[in-house]
Amino acid sequence: MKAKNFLVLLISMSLLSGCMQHTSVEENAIIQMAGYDKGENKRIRGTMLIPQYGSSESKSATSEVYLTANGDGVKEVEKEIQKQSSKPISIGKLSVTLYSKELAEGGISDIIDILSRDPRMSRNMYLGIVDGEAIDLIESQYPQEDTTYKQLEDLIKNNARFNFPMTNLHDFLYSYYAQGMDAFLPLITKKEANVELSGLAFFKGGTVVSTIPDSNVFTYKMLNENFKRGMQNIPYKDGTIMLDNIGSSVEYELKNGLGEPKFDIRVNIKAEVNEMVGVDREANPSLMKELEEVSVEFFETNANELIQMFKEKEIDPLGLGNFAKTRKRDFDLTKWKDNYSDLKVNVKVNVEITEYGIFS
Amino acid sequence: MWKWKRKEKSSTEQTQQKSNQKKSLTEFIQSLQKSEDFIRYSLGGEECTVYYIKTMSDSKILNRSVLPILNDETFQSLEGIKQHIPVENMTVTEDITLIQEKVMFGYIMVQLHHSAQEVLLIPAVSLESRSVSIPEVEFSVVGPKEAFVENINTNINLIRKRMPLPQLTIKELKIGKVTKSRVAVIFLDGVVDPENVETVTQRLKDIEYDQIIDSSFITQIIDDNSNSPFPQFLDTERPDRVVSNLIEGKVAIMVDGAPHALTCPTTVVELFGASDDYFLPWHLATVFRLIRLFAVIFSVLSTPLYVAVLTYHHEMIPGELMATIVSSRSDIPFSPILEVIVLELTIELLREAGARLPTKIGQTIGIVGGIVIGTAAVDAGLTSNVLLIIVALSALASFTTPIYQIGNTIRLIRFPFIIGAQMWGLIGVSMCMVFLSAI
Amino acid sequence: MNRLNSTPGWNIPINYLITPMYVLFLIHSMQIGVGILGFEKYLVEKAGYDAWISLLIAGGFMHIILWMIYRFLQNGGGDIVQIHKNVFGKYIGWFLSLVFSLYFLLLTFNVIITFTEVIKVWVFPDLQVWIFLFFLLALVYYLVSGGVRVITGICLISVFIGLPLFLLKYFPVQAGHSMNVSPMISHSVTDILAATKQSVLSFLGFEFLLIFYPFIKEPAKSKKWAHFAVFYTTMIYLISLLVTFVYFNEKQLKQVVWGTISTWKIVELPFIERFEYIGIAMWLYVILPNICLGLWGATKIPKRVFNIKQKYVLIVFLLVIFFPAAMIDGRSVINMVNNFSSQAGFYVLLYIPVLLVLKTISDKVRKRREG
Repeated sequence: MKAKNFLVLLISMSLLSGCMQHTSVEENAIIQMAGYDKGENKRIRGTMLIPQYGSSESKSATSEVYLTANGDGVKEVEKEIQKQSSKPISIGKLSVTLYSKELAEGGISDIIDILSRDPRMSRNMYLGIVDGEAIDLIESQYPQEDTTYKQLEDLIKNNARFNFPMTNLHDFLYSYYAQGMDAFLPLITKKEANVELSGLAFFKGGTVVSTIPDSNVFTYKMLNENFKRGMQNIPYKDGTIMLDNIGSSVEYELKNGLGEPKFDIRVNIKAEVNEMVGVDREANPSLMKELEEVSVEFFETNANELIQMFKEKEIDPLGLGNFAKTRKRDFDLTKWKDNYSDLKVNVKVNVEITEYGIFS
Repeated sequence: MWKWKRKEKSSTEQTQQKSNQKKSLTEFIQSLQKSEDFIRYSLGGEECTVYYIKTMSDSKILNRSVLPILNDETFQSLEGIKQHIPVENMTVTEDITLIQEKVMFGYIMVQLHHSAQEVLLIPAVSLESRSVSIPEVEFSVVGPKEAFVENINTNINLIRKRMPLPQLTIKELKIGKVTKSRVAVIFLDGVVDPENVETVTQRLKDIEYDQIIDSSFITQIIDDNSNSPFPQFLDTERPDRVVSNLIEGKVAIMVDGAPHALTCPTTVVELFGASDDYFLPWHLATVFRLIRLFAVIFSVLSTPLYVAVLTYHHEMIPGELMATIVSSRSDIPFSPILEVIVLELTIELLREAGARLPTKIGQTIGIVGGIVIGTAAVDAGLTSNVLLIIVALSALASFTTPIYQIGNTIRLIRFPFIIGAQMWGLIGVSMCMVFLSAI
Repeated sequence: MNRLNSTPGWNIPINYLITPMYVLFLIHSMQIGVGILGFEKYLVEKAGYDAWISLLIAGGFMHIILWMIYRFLQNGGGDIVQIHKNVFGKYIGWFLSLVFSLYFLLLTFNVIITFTEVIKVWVFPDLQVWIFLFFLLALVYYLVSGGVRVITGICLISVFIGLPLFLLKYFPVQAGHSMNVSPMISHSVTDILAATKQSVLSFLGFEFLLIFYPFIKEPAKSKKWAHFAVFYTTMIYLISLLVTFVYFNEKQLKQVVWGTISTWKIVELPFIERFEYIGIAMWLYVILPNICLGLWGATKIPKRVFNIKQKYVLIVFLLVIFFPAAMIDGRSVINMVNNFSSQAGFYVLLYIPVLLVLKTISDKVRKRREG
């Protein structure tokens, strides 16, 4: 009896209430990529990329639509873009967001706030800083992939396995909000017909204050995290050798308490050497010994330069402050920041070349 | 699941029984004489008369054991005849109800005087039934290949020979006002919970219905919650399965004329167990059973999830899949829910049509329907091919259930889920799930 | 039709009784509710990343309270209504029992509005609350009128549905920073105790034992299961807390309203992303025991006190929940109700030792009078 009444009720009610708003997937304008530049008369200019999926017969012929609007805030840009779109826009699938370096140098903390507030955003989204205009980068076609967003998403995702550190929205927000830690994002540059990762941009709060070229990215990644791939070319005498990383690990140690803190950063790199350009010598253990010493020299100088730069800009992308906080009970952030430029950091690199190919 | 519920006995049946009793033997004979196959003739003068229904009685017994003796000698009493005829289990009775019942079953009735109310009943029943064959609904590759037939004696024989125990108890009841079907309650004494036996027999006795033609009639009348879409009895055609259930302490019910046995109480998990599971090594059986369970879940949930995700939560579709789904949907004029309902109904149509037609044509219909209609619908832009795959897979998955009844349940419960998905997306699906688990 | 037990005394038919082991599921599923979706923020606000200590202390505290409850229920013979009657006399006893009933109603109400809020924020901003609530409450009516056994079944299912969601913690841990928890103990005792008070609220729910105790077959045996349930809950809360600690940093976590849901966001499987939608939908299963058991307890008390049919009380209470819940809108009101019910819960917990003392005294007095 009860179940029957209930069923009748259920069915009648469900027939009566087709009232929740719904649109099927294909009726949405699904934004996959967004880019923000400095606006012309408003603060920012947003460019959104909406892929247009072809019908079932011509699956490969996917085209893209770019919509651009100016606004003072991200939501205003969205509102303006909706005015240009024939379908309701949906930002839930946003997979890449780019900011122009110019905009980011003026501070983007309000945009970051939206990213952490909106429940519809994916935390696996990739962020990047464009050296140049984001709109140019988005509105170009790239031969490698059908769509621009795929190109950029895979570019950032796959390079995180090599020289570039992992930077998705979650990692960015984590270091953005953490105490004694600053965020960084990959720097992306548009080349003739292609797009490439050209370095890293470092934030201080919500503002980009400094960048490093891609030649230093390996050094930074090596200081920042443990990783297993990546390559670094190292000048040796007149030529260069290519160091092929097969396992790098890093260890921090805080000495001396908080009064006069001293950091020891120990890096262990296991690498292979397969290519030596302009080095006319037989590959043998003694040469490798020499190469190891050269590499250590190279990495230590580079790392010290990097850290020196961080200290000058008063940024802490390595999270040394955060590390100190977890080690010392009486950690005081303001005091730490005051003393940061005098912080002693001692980088000790150990390179071990394990293999040099199958031909000596 | 097993609750105590008695159904009340109405008074109509009792009054009817009384009026039956009043009928005399002559009236009974007269009413039978309207049929051509009712035979009556007298032997040795007018004294001894033999009655039987030709189509129901075994003429071998009549010709070899009964007639020679009745012809050779004259008897003064029925008891005398009874001692001479070499047939087992004869009865001398005046009870008209019993007489009626037995004669209708094919017993030979012998009357000494015309007016005598007392008759001798000689069992000479000839029952037509097919021989034991291989199970078709619950086929298994390994293991015994015997299935129940329509004859209850054969069926009980199939069970008893697997379990030669004195504790195996069989209670017989006659149910159905018109059909008078023999219903056997079978259980293993000492293992079974007596309360269950009591409940089952009580409920069976309280059944008041004209015809009990198949065991499924009983399922619907005596189950705990007749609104539940889940079968509450395990309906099986495999004697080995019944035996293993009996050993587990369950009660089995068998109806004469039904090639199925019911066992109870049952759990939902059992409904997904195939008999193959018991013949295979445990790891294989576990994996197969898990696959089957997964298939059921997939079958119930896949189309509702399709509706929910496409209508409300398209954020959940990964980027790579998005292109596939959107491009397959881009030409479809209907919303996902309409698309799904139309396709699901098509599948149900095919299934119904296939079940009603003779086997060979049924197969053809399945193939023609599946391939031709499916491809045509996609080509015409009425359904997306992603959905076609999902619906076909979920239909396929619903066939993996070893018990036919639960397969029907799965067919049915998909639809409320689809409606729920349309209303509140995944939360609607979840609510339907709660409701389902409540019943 | 009415399967609810209608005898005034304690001759509950054996088919209504639940086996001791199910106490585990009843208590555990009652304790895990909407709270776990966002409890981290409140703990971290008080004690930072030392909140896990507070959580453990609170868990220990719960064991003590549970022990007390068992203590007076074992001697009291019956439920809270009976004990109130014995200790305070008829009218005050009635009144106190009704306060309990209202408290249970409040808890249920709180769960319902919070869950609706979660749905509105995370899934459907344009949800038509009243239709949704209508369906939800109709479902609840159907379940609650099914009686204790049905509710126990729902609890059981809820626990097993919750388990796979728990496995998803792997994803945030993988993306996390394990150093976050250290340094241990960097907050003062008062901070930790404040967070303890906050975390006690996560464990609310086992007071329902006061009502369903008579329905347990061999109640003495259920004791270990009840303690195990509390322990299990503590562990689940602890792991959830540690996972969010690892995944977010302290400042972030203070701002994240629903920590656990946010950790689901990172789950990415090849065929499905954004697991929070599935998580929230499955969470319906987890909160359902809260609502059902809450309403069952709330309606059981008036029934025991006034001897009226539980069905009618149930309908009245459902209406009482339905109208305000359909009208409430906005985070601030919901936060207010949350705080209010937490306060009420805290006082109820404090009341239990008091009741134990009063009961011991009244027992002694009675014995002396008799002797």
